[in-house]
Amino acid sequence: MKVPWKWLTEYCRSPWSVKETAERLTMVGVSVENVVHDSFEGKGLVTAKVVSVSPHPERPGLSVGFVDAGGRTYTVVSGAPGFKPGVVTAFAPPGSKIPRKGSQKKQGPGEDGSSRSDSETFEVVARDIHGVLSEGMVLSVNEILTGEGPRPGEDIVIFPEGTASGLPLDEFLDLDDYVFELELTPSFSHCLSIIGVAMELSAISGVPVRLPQTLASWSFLDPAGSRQAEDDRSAGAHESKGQRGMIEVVLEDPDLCPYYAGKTILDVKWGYSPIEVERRLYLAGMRPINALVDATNYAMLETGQPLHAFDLDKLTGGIIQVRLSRPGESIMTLDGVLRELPPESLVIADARGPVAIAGIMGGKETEVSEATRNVFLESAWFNPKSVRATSVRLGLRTEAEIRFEKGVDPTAQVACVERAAELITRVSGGKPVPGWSQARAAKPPRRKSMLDLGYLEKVLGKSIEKDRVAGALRRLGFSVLDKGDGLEVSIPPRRVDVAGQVDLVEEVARHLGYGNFQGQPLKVTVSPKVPAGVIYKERVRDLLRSLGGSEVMTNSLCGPDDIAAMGWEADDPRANPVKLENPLTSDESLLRTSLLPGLLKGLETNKRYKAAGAIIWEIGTVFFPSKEELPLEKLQLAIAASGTLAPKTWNALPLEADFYYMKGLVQSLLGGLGVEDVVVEKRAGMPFHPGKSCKVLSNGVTLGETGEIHPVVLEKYDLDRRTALAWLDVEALRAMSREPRYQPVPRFPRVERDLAVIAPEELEVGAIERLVKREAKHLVGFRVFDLWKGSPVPAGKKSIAFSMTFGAPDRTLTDDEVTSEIEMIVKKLEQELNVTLR
Amino acid sequence: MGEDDVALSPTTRNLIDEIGTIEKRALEELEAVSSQQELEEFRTRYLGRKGLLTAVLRRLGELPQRERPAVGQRANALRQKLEEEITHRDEALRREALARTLEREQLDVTLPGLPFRRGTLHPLTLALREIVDIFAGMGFSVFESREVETDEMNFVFLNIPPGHPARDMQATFYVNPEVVLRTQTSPGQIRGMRTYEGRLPVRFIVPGRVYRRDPADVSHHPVFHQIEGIAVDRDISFRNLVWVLEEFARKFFGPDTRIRLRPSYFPFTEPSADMEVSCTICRGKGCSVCKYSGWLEVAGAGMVHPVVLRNGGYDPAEVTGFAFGMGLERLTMLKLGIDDIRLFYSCDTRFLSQFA
Repeated sequence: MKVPWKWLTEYCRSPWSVKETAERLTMVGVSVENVVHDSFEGKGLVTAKVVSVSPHPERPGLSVGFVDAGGRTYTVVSGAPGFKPGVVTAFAPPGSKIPRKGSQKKQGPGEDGSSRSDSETFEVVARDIHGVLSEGMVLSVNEILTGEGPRPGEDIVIFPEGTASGLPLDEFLDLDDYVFELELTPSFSHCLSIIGVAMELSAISGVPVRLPQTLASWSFLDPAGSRQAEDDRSAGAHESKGQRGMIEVVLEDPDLCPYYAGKTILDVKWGYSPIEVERRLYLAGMRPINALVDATNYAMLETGQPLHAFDLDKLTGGIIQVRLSRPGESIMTLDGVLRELPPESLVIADARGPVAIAGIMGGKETEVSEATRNVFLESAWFNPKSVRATSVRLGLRTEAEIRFEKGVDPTAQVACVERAAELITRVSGGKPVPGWSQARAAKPPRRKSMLDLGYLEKVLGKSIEKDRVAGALRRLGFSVLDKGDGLEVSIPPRRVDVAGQVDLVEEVARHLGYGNFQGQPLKVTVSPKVPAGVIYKERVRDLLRSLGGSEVMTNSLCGPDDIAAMGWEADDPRANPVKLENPLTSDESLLRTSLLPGLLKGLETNKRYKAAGAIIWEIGTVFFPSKEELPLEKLQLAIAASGTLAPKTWNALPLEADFYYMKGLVQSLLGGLGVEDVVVEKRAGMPFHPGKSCKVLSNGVTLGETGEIHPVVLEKYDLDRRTALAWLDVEALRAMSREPRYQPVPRFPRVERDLAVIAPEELEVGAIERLVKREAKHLVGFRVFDLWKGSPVPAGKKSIAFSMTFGAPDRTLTDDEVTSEIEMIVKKLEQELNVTLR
Repeated sequence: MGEDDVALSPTTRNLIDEIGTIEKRALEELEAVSSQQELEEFRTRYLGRKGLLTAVLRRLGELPQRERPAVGQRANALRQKLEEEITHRDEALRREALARTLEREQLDVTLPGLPFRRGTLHPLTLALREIVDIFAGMGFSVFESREVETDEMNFVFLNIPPGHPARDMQATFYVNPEVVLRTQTSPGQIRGMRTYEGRLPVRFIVPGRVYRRDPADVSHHPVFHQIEGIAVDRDISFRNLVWVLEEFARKFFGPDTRIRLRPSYFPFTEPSADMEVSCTICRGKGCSVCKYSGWLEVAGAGMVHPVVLRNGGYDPAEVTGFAFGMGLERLTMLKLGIDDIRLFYSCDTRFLSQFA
């Protein structure tokens, strides 16, 4: 909603500056997002009197005239019908500048933080028109406001008789203005009109609202009294039945349209709106069309009641039906689009079929045009949900629709249509037919609510005197009766957002200003609880940080390509994600089943930035379809590393993202989390390399997988370097984590012994470790410190050197004890694994 | 030589003279000692079993009985003195030796140390931890709630029935007509409240991911995080809400931060407010970040709507409550001066490594 300052203050004079007014409105909820200073960019344009006119010597249809621009006379060529002696018009002398509104608007911050709207200009020069030098141009409204030529049938501006020559046009027309750009919440639909905003301004400032006479009896001034006035007028409607131009209105679906009023104006003259009306429409963000349509738009902007003008003579059968669309019906709308009407759409139809989509857009066939002589104005109340539903189905939103879907004042139809009629007759002439073509299926309910001051105090935390509460509500247009222990509040019909007590509390609070409510500490102290799962998650994060690598957050949405890249079997749950019904793009159409695709993309990003390598990890939710109503949500942890994680330096070897790096990282993490009895099983599934990966288990439960990436998967990504991955199920980890328990610190010295052995090449070191652990009674540590294949070790064999630590909790082990354990180990290694001492 | 000495026997006098000579010589020699080894030789020469001073002591027996103590004392005094001198000399020599060693042992300290890899936490994690701590200080527990929700939880229970215009305020992703990706952490209000089963006071926050069908740009991302908060009790007021938001703003953005509430609309709160803080960039003077207003919108808040209280299992005639919701990304961006929300989801380690 755009509110031009001068238009607003016509109804309520503001005691404050533009900026302060905007701030004060914002602080009561009429959120002014932006104040735009829209000054007239033209330069040197003036009023000028046409002194004399004679036909152009060469060209019939053109005239040559002298215009007096206040002290200087210019020769001007024009073809405008209004270019006649004695007329005062707008004149652009050579060297003057006319703004081109159609050009790209530049907005930048001006002084006071308001924006300025600048448009380009073009310079007027003297030019030869068929042998006559025309020193400048006489202008139409369209030329002044848009820089474009006159519209079909548009004449030059003709100012009232007696207007002086040589007056600067921008000053004379008072074109400089500010525009409030409102960002209204759904609860402020009553401010989708200039008068609505004026009433809020009046409520803050105490300056009364001044309305045009036609609107003065409109309901919002006094909810009780106005309805009376309206009822009286409706009574008059019957008398005018049968008159020329009256139409029978039939409401077929009273729930969707309980009230419809039409106003007929006969013998109107076609034309364009005066410059001040067009200027206001532009400022308010609407394009002027012609005087008839402009009047309906002007009245809508003013009152919030959308109106539509039909060409009366194009309506067939003298009847208007407000009904649901019938199967197969379609309508060509004003914008020239042929639209199939969705079923259950409310339409306005004449004897032949739909002539408008109710509350959204009128039909092309019955629109007012240059040929229009008689007009039928529609002013109705349409059910917000119905309008909205049709709008959504059509994908069509209009200024009218925006207002209807929020709910317009159900009592304002007659007053507003009268206002539009008044505006039309003022510009286009014509004779309004007294009364209305109308139908009413139901009276709008009178709405009241009690306001308990005790409740108000409880909610706001502050006691406010009854008089102040009542005063605040009255200023906002409510009528208030003191009922002793509470206030009985009548709600103005236009305040469709207010229903009950709690809404009234908000009205009072915002009117007093939220800033008047000082903070008050919470009385009761509560000791906060953090769920164990959350604490655990943070512990995992801290451990991962201590192990290096960067925490990342990736999109929970992914696409079919991400899933396909992983190479999962068709029946793998991860290959069957939850799908979105209305994704923005295919890439974000599925809920992720694994963090790995996101992390692989993250690695790509870092490679693109020329990082030699990266370690990234994420803890996040993955989703799986379930038999329940809602999908299954699981917390996963994943780590991805690729490239050189630490480059070679003068004193350190490079660190590569290989299987053992990732396995070590996972082991350290599990150790830190107190996960016991961790074992690995060779070969994880996709997307891991079958020979360079393993499952990670604890007590038979699979915790996750780790390893290098499968080459086929790697190919799908722009990585081209060694890449290792791991994923772990956080809930499984948590289930397997043991709280740390104190173990006495060893008091007796430990003994370390090394063995170097020759083993079959295919033998896993794990087999040796398992055997050693099984055989050694006092083993407390096992560490492989050398591994060698090739000369001098015979082919098919490998050399392994490992260190064992022995110790006992209650004594120092003797040499003999250790030696005998080692002898047993050596014997068993040879017997069971064909491993011999080197 | 004193009166008494005159009476001493010549042997004694000789011996005393000899002690004097030894002392003089020893001190001269000690002066010249320049290594541990020489010092050890010196000790042996004077104090060893065959040392010069030891020899004097051995000759005490040759003296008359009554003159022995005097000479003995002198000899012992000298012994003690020499031992002390040796100790001093020893220390001095060690000091010198150490100084020479240290002089020799020089590293190029400009060469880099071992390349330890420091891990980093995501800036949103760091900010969220801070926020959780701040609210914990005011008694707010943490409640985590699901991300895929029923339409009922995400909308209907929050006073947003089907067809409600407020549904337009949030572009929603649907899984099916009844299931949505939560557009706000607010359904956590209902789920969280229900876990209290009517007990009071209710006070918790709900941090988590939310989803909006908005294409990504500098200030939008289809996935982002919110922190919802709610407090319900017998006499919770709007002023309590103001206090909690003020406390939060001062602790998170700094003690000079001011807050401002202005009327707004959320179907699940009434009265509703937008919370603004004095601009963290220009301190309220006006800049491009705050669009020259001096204020930044950081949260939505209000008094819990009676409908929501009922849906959470509470009687609005008995209790009142407040609730608020804020965007974690926005808070973090304002605090750290980050200008593009997409950076949070970029995985770019050049960005991520800046925050610890």
